[in-house]
Amino acid sequence: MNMVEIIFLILGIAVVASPAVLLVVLGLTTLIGRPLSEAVIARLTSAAVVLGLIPALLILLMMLALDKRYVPIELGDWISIEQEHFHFHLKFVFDRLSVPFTVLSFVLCGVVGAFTRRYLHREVGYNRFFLCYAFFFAGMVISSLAGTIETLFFGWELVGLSSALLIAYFHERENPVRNGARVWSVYRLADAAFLIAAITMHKLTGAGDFGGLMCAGPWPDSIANIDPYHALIVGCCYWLRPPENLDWSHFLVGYQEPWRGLLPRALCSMARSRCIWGLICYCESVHFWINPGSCVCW
Amino acid sequence: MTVAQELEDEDPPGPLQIRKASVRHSIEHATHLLPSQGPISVFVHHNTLHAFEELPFAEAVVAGGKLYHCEPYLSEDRFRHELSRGRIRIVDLESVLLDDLGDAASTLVATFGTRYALRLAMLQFPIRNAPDAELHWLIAETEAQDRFREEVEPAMRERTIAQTRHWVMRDLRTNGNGTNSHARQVLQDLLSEYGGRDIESWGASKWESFVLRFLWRVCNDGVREAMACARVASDSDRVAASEASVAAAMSSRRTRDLLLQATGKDSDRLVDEVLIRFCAAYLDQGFADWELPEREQGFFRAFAQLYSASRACVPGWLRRLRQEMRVLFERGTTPLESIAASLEFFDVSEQEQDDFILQALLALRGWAGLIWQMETSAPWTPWPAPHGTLEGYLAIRLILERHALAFLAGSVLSKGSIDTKSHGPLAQAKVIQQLRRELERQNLGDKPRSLAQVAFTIYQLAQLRGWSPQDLVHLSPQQWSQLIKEIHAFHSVERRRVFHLAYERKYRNEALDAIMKHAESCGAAERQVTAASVAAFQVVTCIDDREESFRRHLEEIDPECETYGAAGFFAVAMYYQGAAEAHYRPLCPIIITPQHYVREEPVFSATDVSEKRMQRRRIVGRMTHQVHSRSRTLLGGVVTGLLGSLATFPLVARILAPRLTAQLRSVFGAFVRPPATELHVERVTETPGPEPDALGYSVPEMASIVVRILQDIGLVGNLAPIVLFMGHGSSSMNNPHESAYNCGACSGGRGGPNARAFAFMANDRRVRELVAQAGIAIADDVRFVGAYHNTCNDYVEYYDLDQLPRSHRGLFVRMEQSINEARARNAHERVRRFESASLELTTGEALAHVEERAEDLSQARPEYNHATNALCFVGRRKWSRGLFLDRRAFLTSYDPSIDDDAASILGRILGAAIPVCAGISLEYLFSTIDSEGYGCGSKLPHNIAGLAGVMTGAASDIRPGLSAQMVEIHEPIRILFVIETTVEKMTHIMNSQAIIGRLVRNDWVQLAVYDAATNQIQRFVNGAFVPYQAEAGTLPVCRSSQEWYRGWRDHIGFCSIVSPQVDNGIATVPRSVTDSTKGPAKEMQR
Repeated sequence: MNMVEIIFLILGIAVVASPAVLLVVLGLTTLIGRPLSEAVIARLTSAAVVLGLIPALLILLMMLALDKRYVPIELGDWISIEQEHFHFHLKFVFDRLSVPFTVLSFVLCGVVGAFTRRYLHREVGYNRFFLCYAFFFAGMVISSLAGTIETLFFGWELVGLSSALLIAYFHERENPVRNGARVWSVYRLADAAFLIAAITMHKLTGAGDFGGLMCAGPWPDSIANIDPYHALIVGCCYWLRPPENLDWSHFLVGYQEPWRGLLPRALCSMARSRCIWGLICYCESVHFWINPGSCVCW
Repeated sequence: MTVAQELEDEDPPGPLQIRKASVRHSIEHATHLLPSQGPISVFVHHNTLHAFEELPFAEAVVAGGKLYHCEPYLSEDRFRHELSRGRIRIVDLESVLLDDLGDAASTLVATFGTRYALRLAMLQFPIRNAPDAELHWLIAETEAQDRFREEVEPAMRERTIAQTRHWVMRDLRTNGNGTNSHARQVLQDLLSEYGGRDIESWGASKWESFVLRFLWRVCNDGVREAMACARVASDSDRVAASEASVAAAMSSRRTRDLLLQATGKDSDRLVDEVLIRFCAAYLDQGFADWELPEREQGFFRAFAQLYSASRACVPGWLRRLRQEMRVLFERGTTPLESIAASLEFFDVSEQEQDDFILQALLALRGWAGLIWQMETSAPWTPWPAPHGTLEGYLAIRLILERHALAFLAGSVLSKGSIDTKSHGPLAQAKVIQQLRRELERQNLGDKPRSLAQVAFTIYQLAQLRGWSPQDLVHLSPQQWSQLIKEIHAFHSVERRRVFHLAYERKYRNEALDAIMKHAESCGAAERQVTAASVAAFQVVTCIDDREESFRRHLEEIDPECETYGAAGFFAVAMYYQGAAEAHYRPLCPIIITPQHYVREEPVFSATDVSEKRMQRRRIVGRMTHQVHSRSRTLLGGVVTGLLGSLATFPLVARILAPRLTAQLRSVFGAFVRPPATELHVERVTETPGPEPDALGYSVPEMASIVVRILQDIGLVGNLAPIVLFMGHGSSSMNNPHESAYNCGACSGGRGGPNARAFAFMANDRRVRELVAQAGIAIADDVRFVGAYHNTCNDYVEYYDLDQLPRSHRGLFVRMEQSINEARARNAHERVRRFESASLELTTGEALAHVEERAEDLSQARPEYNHATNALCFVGRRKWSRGLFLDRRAFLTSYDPSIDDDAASILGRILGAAIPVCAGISLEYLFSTIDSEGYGCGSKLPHNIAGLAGVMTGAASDIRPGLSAQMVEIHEPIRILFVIETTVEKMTHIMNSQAIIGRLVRNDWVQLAVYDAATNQIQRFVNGAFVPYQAEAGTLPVCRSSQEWYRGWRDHIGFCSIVSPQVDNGIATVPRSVTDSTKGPAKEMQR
């Protein structure tokens, strides 16, 4: 490893670790029944966003300066079942698609945090909201940078969990809880599709690494290593995964009136733009599906 | 023939017609009990329990609570918290209890002491209780029978143990004197359980457990005996009474309630889902993209037509609705006919009809109330509801209820008992009546308190009061009964009532003491300054409690100024339309219907510019609307998806830097903002109206307004060269309740135009001539200036300054400097309440903070509005000037020396002040006591429905009342009026004005009259005025308001402010806005 790669590794870990640490701190303090004060939660959240955003921007600058288009961060096999030839390989990829989305995720999650720390001031569920927020935040970053389908699945599960919990945030009333439960059951169906895609990938390439699906070059120059029909199956399975980040934001919108929902609407717009952009890519080339960053769109 | 048959068979009118009249009467009766909050754009504070004002307050809160399923007072836990932190003192409880009990205080209760002592103990210590199952667990599994409650004083605990131990060892174990068989039996049981052989070596802990178990057994047995005795004595009466009460309770309960209790299935959920959506569409004031079809035909027919369409998509339980709606629509059935038929279907008798209709309307009382208000009190809205809308709503509701109940009846009735072949309304009616009978048969009434619950209450009281088993074991069944009755008589609501009175007493007495002490200590100094010469300038503000601190700071900054308070519409009752507004809106108290219209127009020289900017506004408005609506279409959604990310940038800016973004918006807003304007105040035609020539007032009308206000505030002489009239309002972002923060005297509008109009009138030479004829001479060099105070960001805007003579500009600059400093100090005093603002802020920083709050999208508390209201002073400023009131007082100026013997000026002031201030006070009180029931709960999940009200979430009842964020710092006490007048005059006013008499005599407000000459106060207590004796010895004195409140967020007590300027009689140049007020936090002596 040369110095540049070491710097990339440190920065890459910082990007992923900052939301993960926030999640761990908020989760553990809640688990032991000693939730943090509003002020501490707000400071931790801001710190997590800043300490993740700065390394992400530095990576972007370094990639531009060094003309690097593909920066993998390998964190090794976390689970290995040799008999089944299965490895849960934790890998994050910084490329020209994933980095902008990661930066955008940081910015919007930071804005959501700034908005919410005032909006939910003195609300009894303040700690609970920020715990769900930390799930979402970590899930978005992990999903954006996922280099293997297992990592992507892990990130999406965090996002899905936070979606359902945030929809049911006002749990004193019946409707939010019912809606949360509905969404949760729909997600489980979508998860099944996601898993089918994962298994199909494993069958086709022998691994969950998105790099294995490509025979040459990082996105957008990569060319599919599998035939178009198989790619279509994988892509459709991903497509069944609903754009979850649209749903949770509705807990603030209340599903109806836009006057209060400006912030969530921006998130919706972001997610929608990603979806539509992904659709265009899909139409242009089947090899869209074999890029991990593109998969995140769905 | 029944009504239902008549409708089904199309026979000639029969009983249907007869019942329609009584239905209308029942609806009218029910409307009095619906919330009277109108469209949210015109939020008017009012007494939440206005319909119960004929009752005394204590009875009304119980009756209202029962009807609306709300709490009558704060919870006991909350009151005990207040007791523990000193907000309620024991002396307050003792005093209130003694007053409440009167002679009965000394009544002995079962040989244990007086009723007063028993009740005091019940107030001081929480008596825990629980359902039977939980209670059994509590007794068996916790230390409830092993350790005394922690609230029991150690000395009392030791005494009880020692006394019992002595008794057991001396008498009971040896069958000595004074023992009875029951005690010996209990002892034997316990000794066998504890092992009595080594009783002499038992430790303290074992004795404590033994005593408590002994006590529990005695209590249990005593209560059992008492209940058995009572049962035998009145068995037959009890059975009869019980059956009658159960029958009455059952008949007053809706079938839906019985079904919900029996099965957990809620028919209202089905009904409300349909009805809420339809109501929101029907009452929409311009938000919806599509207008409801056939809306102009009324609620009933619009619904019938919509749901009778063949393509109507309805849920499964409404599958038979289409046919029924079609029949109703084609026959032209009226809502009243439909209601009458539904009453038949539900088998509602004439006697039950009022209650049935009331309960049906209260099921969604927010929507029903809003419909009624839109039908009767909001003709100025873009889409008022036509006459008969509430009848249509009720008719539809009953039809839907019928379908929902018939659908759910299967969960109670066996399949064989339901006729599945018939589907008409009559068949449904049979099913529902069958369902009702079945539910009533199941007899799901409330169960009385069990033996264990009663015994556990006495068990705890015995510990707290030091009653030993020896004391209790000798009680006869009659004495046990008496004890139980005493405890039952002082139930939770009664205890909370006493707590509430004690809660009010502390603040009331502190306020009255402060007035008397302040008058003693500072009155002379104040009089010296004000009487010396004409004031440098005079400022007239609204009576609003938020202006109290503003006035106080202004007087501290410039002691040569005078301030006055008058209802913020300044007697200019008008429909007003701003230059950039589309509609007229009322700017006067809600009880007044304006006759005059006033419009803001561009000045003549700027007409062309105004026209251009108006075009720009239209273009921007149209574009905004198009973007809003088209982005929800398929193609629009794609475009939004592609370009939506761009919305991130302004959004991020507004959230991260709201103040800066607002300043930028203001700069760009200049392109569309109207240029210089003037008010069209003077009328040309004879009669007022909205036509161009009919706008405004005639000169005599203007003169009467000017005379009225100047007389009211006592400003009939010594007018300063500049008299500033300052209306007020509030602007904030993302706040559906914004109008609730505006001026209450302007129907939730902004009072700037009223002040501007008043200044225009008072500056008119012709008006002054007429005013002079009324005895008020206004010198030529006196100029009136209108202004507007934004209480959220503390900005002050002045109107028509170009009209100010050059000779007055120097004085105006001085006044403006003082006001600027007062704005900053006022902001500084306000921000201490906000946890997000540091207590170390300077005045300049505080001003920037409140400016930012007002522009912050994420701010749920732009300001605290009337949350601190508690007092209302009516009288001359000289006795309240310099008294720190913590923004808790409405200040109404009134000079008794210029009033006549009948107190006609005071009468007209109080005619508005008491109902308005009481309305504000009581709305805050009830919204605080039960935030979800009377208030609208947390504002975080609120959504505006149809621009007419707020719902919680996507679909709920309309939520009237105040949000939890608005009342979170409020102390729910009834407002205390302190009026500078005599007992005779006040009594005369109470007798002559029914509203005032009712509010005062029924204890909805607290009242005291103050005699400034003798510095004596008399309180109105139990129907008579009684002299008040001061309690406190001294009143703290400070040199400035900041010195008193700094470092403290919570409510703070009274204080005399004696500024150095007053001390030496020299007015100094005001300090700059950015003066630092940093200083160490001071621990306040409260």
